Amino acid sequence: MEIKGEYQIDASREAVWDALNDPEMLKKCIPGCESLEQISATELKAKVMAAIGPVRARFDTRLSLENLNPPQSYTLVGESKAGMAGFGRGSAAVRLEESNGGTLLTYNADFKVGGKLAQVGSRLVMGATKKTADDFFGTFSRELDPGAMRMDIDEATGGAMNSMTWKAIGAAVALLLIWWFLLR
Amino acid sequence: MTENGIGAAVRRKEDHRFITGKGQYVDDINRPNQLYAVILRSPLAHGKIKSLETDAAKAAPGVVAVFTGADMAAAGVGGLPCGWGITSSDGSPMAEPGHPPLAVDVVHHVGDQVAVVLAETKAAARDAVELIEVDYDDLPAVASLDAAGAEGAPLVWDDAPGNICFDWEIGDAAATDAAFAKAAQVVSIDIVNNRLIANAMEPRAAIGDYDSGKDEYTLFTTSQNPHVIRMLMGAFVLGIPEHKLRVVSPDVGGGFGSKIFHYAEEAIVTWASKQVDRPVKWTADRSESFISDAHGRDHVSHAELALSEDGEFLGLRVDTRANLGAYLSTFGPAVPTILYATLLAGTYKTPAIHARVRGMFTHTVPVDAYRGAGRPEASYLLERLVDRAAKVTGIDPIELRRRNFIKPDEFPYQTPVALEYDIGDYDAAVDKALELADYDNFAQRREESASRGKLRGVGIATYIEACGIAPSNVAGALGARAGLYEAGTVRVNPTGSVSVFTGSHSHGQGHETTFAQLVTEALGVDFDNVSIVHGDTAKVPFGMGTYGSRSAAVGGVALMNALEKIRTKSRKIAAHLLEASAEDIEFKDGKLTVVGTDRSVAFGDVAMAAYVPHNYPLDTLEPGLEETAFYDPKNFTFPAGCHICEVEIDPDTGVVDVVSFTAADDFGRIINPMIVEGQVHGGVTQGIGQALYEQCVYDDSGQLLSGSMMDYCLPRADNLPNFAVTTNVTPCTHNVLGVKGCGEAGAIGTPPAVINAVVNALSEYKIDDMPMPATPERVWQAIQSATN
Repeated sequence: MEIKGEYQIDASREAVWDALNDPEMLKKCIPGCESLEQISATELKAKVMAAIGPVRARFDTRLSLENLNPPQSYTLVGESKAGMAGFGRGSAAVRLEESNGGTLLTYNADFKVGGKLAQVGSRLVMGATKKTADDFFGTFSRELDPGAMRMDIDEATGGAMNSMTWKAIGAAVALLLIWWFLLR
Repeated sequence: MTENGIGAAVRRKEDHRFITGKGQYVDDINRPNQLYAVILRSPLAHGKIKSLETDAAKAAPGVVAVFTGADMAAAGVGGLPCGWGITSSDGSPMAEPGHPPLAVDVVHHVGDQVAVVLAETKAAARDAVELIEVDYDDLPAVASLDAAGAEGAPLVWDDAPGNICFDWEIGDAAATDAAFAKAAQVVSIDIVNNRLIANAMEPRAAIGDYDSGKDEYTLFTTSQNPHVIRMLMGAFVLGIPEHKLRVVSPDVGGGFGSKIFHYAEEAIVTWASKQVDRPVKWTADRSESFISDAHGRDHVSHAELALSEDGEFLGLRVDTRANLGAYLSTFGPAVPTILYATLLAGTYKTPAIHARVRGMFTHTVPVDAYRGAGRPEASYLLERLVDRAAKVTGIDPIELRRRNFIKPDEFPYQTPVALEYDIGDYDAAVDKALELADYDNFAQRREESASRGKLRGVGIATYIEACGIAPSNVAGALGARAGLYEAGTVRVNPTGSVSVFTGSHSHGQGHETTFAQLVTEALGVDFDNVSIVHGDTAKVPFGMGTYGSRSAAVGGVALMNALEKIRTKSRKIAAHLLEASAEDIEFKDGKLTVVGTDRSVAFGDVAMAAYVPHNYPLDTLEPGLEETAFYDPKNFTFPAGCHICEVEIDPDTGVVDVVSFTAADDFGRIINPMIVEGQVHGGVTQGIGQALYEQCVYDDSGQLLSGSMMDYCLPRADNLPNFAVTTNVTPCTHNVLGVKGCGEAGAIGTPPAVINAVVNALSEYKIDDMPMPATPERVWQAIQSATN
């Protein structure tokens, strides 16, 4: 599965880069993050509680940073194991560009899921992952700059909306999805 | 006919306990001091186990033991055996990979068993399973037939090059080539028979209970054939002799084939119970069923039919690839060969047939028999092909079928693909179906649908199936590794009540009713004074179980033979009591009478005399009144019939609505018409499920995507019309009951009838094919492609 997105953050590229490499910052921003530990300069270990559709599990995640090109780009490679619930693995290319006096962060991720996650949640993984990414960058932007907003590549015209609006839309979509499942 | 005898629509005895919640299923059974097993399954389709760390799980609260494949291998546990060997056309035996109950080193499909945790509660076992650390090397996987057969594809097994388990053929290739050479026209079709998951209402469950005092094992399991499980698990996997192993299959909530096979969990709980000296219980949850119950179907075929100028079938050529999954399930190799290609003659006189079948391994759940098992695949291929031939030749589809039917005076009929049909009347079934479906007025209904903007189509299919697979020696020559007879014991109790012990197993079929009807018919004993005991190797002398619509045709006949022995002995006892000769005793309506006199004795008095033999011919006759019969049929039975389906399609949404369905089936003589009708309803429903809704989907990496009821669509009541069901009887010529079997027919004739109807409804768009399931998306897309 491929997923991509971009976020405009009202902070300097260096500040964004530093924040992305700050375990405390990451811990604060990853939804459901219970612990996060730096193992080496480029490796992290995390425990994250997450729900994808009907699968709710604790993901033991290992992340490593590759192709480091500060402060412009890096690749995040990760693998999450959730015992009986299955696994997820993949990578995301992250790019930071100076834009409008702030930083435009774009990511391009490719990942796969397996086990029960694929079995009962595959249709929901895309949405759940997008939501997790949005939550992460939403919090991240707020931490760096309370006025940040986010744009999707294919939804760029929505750029005038603030992050609260995006959250509301997200919640509405999630509710619709749940409602639809109940009706089936 | 006696009141509750053969032919009576008696209400089912067993339903009282089922509808009042008193059924006893495996999960209802709890043994004192039992532990709960939860199995860790592979999340990968193909992976090497680099490390398997169980210490944390072993130390978790409530955990008693954790076992892995290495533990079972070290204890000398064998692999799950395959019950049918297929020989390739070059004479080589099929590839037969080992199948350890818990994987050793390599996992081969998502759901493959990796480890088992035994704990005081199910919750504790579940929690502990989460603590097992497995490190896998992710290996490349193949999930589909195309991927498995591709050049350079990853191999499921190193000793099966090209992922081919067997490359088998049947029929005369040269004669078929000659038929095609003289054909006026050739019609061909590519057919995919979609992969299905049985989804019995009751998930599988097993309890292993080792008695260290007696050194005896009991296995309670959701099986269609407990004696077969005892043989396979006892002899091949765990090395337990029959007298030390009891297998009990109590009430079972649906099988549809998926509960025939010997599964790893049965061996795991039985073996583990001895290791910890406590009973061990395992019950699948629904998600587990999706990735561990054997799947069904999954064929890809190319077929060609050679026809003469006037539509006479001259030859049929079929090339089929069948997905067997990662391991060979108990009857996996038999389904796409012996149970499929032998049926390719269908109801037709095609003189030359050749079929090549390649069984292939993939990194998916093993595939095995599912309601119909091979015969639905044959019937779908043939009846789609014949419908296409009708279109190409311009001959009416019903007329084309009639021209090629084997006619009633041509039986016994030897087909070019091994079977000899004993009897049938296919035109009669078509006549009945056409009348019941009001076929003549279809055009009117089509117009009426059109006036509402709907596309109406009608589809017809005939089918033949082979039930009660037999005789054992022929099956053995074809690769069966077991006998295919059935056993039954009739115990007449001292007061005249009757206990029957049958090797057939009821998991929805209603044997407690139909078999009691046989007893009532034969002995005149009141229906309520008969009980049918099944599903326990400690009570029933022997049995091969219930599958392939064999219960009445094999188990019922075994019971009739035992009843005949009871009748013979009863006559001798009555002759003594009435001071007459046994030849002069007539046994009728529960009374034994000296012919031509009014001197008689009730059957109950005969039973009492047998057990209190004060006035009894002890010199020439043993006391007691109990008889056993084993019955090995002379041939298969051949149910056949005609199904007609009408659909309405909404061209704006692509939704297919089955608006009427008619089945005219020949099941031979019918014991209980109400139960037969119920069987037809169930089979037709599953057939409609295959045609319109059900599809097991794997992604390219072997992950099961349709692994829950959210993504695997089963037919529901509101998807179905009221079925019009009738029968047309030609009694089976080679069993005393004249029965043929009715359990699978619905699932065999229905899919082609539905798809033929869908294609017919779409004819104005020149759409001549529609894969199963014909989902709204597929139908809508087909309409869009045709109109744009």
